[in-house]
Amino acid sequence: MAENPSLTKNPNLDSWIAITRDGKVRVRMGKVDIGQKISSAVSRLAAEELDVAPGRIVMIRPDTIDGPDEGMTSAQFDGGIRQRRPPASATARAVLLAKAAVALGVEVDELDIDDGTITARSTNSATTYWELQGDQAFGVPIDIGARIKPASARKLVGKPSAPLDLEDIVTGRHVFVNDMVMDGMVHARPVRPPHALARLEAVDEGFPSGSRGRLHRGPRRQFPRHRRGRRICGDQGGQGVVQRRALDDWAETRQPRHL
Amino acid sequence: MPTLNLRVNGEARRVEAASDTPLLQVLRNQLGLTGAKLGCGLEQCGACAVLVDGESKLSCVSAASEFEGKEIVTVEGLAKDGKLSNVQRAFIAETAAQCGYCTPGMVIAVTGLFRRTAKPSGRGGSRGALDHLCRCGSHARILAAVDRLRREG
Repeated sequence: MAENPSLTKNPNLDSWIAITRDGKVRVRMGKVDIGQKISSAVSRLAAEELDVAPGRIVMIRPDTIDGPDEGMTSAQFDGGIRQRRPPASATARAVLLAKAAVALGVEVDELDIDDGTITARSTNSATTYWELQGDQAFGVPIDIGARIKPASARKLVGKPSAPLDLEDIVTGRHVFVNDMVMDGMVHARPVRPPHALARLEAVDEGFPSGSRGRLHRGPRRQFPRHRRGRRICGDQGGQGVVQRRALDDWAETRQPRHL
Repeated sequence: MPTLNLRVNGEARRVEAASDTPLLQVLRNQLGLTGAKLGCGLEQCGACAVLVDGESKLSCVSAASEFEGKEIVTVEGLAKDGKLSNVQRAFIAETAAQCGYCTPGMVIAVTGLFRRTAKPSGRGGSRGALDHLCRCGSHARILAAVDRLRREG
């Protein structure tokens, strides 16, 4: 298989996959989902290769401290996912099968996996991923040659499925950055002149928010000031909209010289 | 500050807001309904759409006080008893979103469209979702969701 930079930089299985005692598979990646649904795609690949229900996969948001470094975090199409996720999941699967074989006292090829439960055909005894590996590190490198399911055995990949977050999106529950409320948060937006030669000569002191004093002293240093306009801040989301209207109403602009 | 009496998602809500505070700001900041989004703030992109007496209206400029006595429904109010509306289901069936920021406004616009007419004409009922902007370029999927709704009647 071709050299894979993501796996070369992050060769340890523990960088990518963790099995937890609560019956979940936590999957990390170094690519940010900005709506291209890469986390949905990767979660399906992991569920497929590990033979678990898709609902058991928990996608961990990319983290520059302890997530795998995959270079640029954004990609409309993460061209390498088919090359690198299956080996990680397939390695995990092989490790878990080997552990199960020891635990159940049978050969690996006598084992079947169904949603994380590993059953020995000959003895009908069973164990689970969560019993074998729950909250423990794998401590092994990814085996780039780990056997990956043949296309004919796939149950999830290639079949239609709704992206993970779509229900939250259509119901308004999905939290975007500007839906977040942080302590001491202020909003700002630049206000630009109505035409190129206009200059803002005055700003009415009576901003409707009543927060002008504080805001103009505080965030003045933090927000770049537009060369000709003004930065308008508000202590509530969108307050800048109101203030901008106030500014539009009350600002006096010099007439362009040629008019 | 004047007190406003609004009806939002079937509930009476009392808020205090300056007379020119846009409805969107009241919904998002005072009522915690962040489904409707602030996009352009200029009534151009459609991200802030809410249903007002069953019609899709933009909420980012018009003052909340103009909506007293009207029935406001935000995207949070479309599902009933945990059951998604047919428009929401159609959006999921067609994967009609990429980042999803425009989606609440789109869902509201399409809901309003089908309240007006069961069989909107033109591709995707053209005037419904096409007035709204989607910077990801999901329009083809959104129109497919509209077409699905029209087919399903």
